[in-house]
Amino acid sequence: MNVTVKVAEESGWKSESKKMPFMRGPMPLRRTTYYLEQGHILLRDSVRIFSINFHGKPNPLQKGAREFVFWHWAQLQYKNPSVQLVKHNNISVTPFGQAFLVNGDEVLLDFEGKTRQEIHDVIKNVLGKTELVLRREQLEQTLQKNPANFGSEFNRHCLCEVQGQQPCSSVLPVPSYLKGGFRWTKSRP
Amino acid sequence: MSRFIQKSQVPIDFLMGRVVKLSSVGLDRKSCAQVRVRRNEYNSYLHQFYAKSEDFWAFDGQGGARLGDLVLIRQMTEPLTRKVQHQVERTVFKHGNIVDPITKRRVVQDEFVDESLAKKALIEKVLLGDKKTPAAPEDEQEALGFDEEHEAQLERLHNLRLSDSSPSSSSSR
Repeated sequence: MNVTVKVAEESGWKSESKKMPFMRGPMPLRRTTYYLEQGHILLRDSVRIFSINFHGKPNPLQKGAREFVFWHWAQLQYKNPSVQLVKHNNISVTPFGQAFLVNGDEVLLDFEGKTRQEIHDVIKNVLGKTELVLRREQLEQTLQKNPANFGSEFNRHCLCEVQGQQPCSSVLPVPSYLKGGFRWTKSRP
Repeated sequence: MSRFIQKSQVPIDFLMGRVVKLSSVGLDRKSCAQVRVRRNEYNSYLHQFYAKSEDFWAFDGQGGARLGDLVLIRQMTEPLTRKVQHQVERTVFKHGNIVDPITKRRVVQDEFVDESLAKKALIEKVLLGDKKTPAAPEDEQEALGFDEEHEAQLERLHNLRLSDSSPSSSSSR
């Protein structure tokens, strides 16, 4: 804060670049990858569009929705990149959330009189993936990533890198009985 | 800066947007609507999302879509033309006639229409009493003077307040 002004004054000129570059906006903490990764709501695959109506200058009943959007909207989009998130400002008196599912169904959530935490929990419980589902998805992902695989896309390029396997053919010649020419032609007696 | 902007991963088969243009295609003049859809793009340098608009032409089978309506569009299995790939599934909010989905009451500028009409009726009741309109110029001699009119209005307001605060009266929301 005042350190930068002091430095600027000492050097004789004020520079923008001497200030912390990204501490902009009302709560720049929300703009860190660490904060965005902390999003707890992972919407179900059937939810394709989620919209919320909040108010820029809320009365006590509308406050929770405004706070939810302020703190959690970016987190929600970061964690659910394939969901279209839509914000409505002041279109109606009551704050509400609408989720549109793949089959066209609509899920309506009433946010009037609720706090930020209550709104967060409602969305998580109604539209979010349960812990069981998340754990199953995690296991499925690890199954796909078989650590025994080798190749250009994996950690080990060639099997010769594993101890106990055949040495690399670039270093030592491959024995004839393993070569294709022998195996497909000369192995037959 | 542009290398930090990641394109939106939202697939285009089911979207929500606003109607910005109306037109028609083909010899049989099938009505279409151009829908402006906003999808968020992530800027990995600023760690912030910015809405990016895209326009999609959608076939309006029912013909109910009007300019400014908030609609849901879905990609058609057999597109109408090269440009018209989507169809309007339903209107979520009609332009100029916003109905609160929870209370099902019409909303005009942060106020329920039935509430604002009730307020207007109350004000008229206080100001005019039994008369429907203020006194016409021809009836000037019959009409009350300003002070008398004002006193009558204050009395009506006082009576309304008393009736409102009495335990038997029901509170309006």
